[in-house]
Amino acid sequence: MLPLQKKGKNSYIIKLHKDLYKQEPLERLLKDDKGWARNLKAKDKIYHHCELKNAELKDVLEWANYLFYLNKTS
Amino acid sequence: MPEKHIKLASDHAEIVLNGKIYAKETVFAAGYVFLDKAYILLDQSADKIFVYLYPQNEKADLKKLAMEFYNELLNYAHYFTRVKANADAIKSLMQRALFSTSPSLVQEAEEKEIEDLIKELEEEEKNASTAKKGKK
Repeated sequence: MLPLQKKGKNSYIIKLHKDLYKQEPLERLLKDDKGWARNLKAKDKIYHHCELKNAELKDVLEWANYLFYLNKTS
Repeated sequence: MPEKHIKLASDHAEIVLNGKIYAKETVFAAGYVFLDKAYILLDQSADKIFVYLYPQNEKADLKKLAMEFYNELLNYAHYFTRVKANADAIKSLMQRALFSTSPSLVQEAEEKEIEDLIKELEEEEKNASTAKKGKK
């Protein structure tokens, strides 16, 4: 299932599998983007659940691409 | 390519990969090449890896994009297999190249090797003497 869900008018929830997306780059990115992105800290052993507020789909996808880049290069 | 491995939606393509065939590193390496033409989301379930490709150019052909991704996967899977198979040869070539540019490294490496051998011998002797004492 697509790990991206629209929540409300301008928010998205993205589920990031912990085996694929490392903790450290994610935390770094969330810290940089704390104005609009946050970890929902769900009690889920498999996924990080992140909310991206006031965002268009393109913004979310660009954010995800940058996270992919950080995971590849870190 | 079996169609069941590629699902096309209105704005993205979903690629289902067998995680036993394509390692996570291979998927990241192939995805890295695509970062300038597609947005990439990954997911995993049991031994399957799901790749969601959203083209950055809205007019892009989704199926073609997915097929190109497969080609890149194959390219990197082959590359990593060859690297693994040739690891010893690559290591020895790199060592030779380094040593030829800086001969002092040869001496350092030899000294280190001798030190390691002496340590190994000392440990063997120590173990042998404790074993003898134990028998007595």
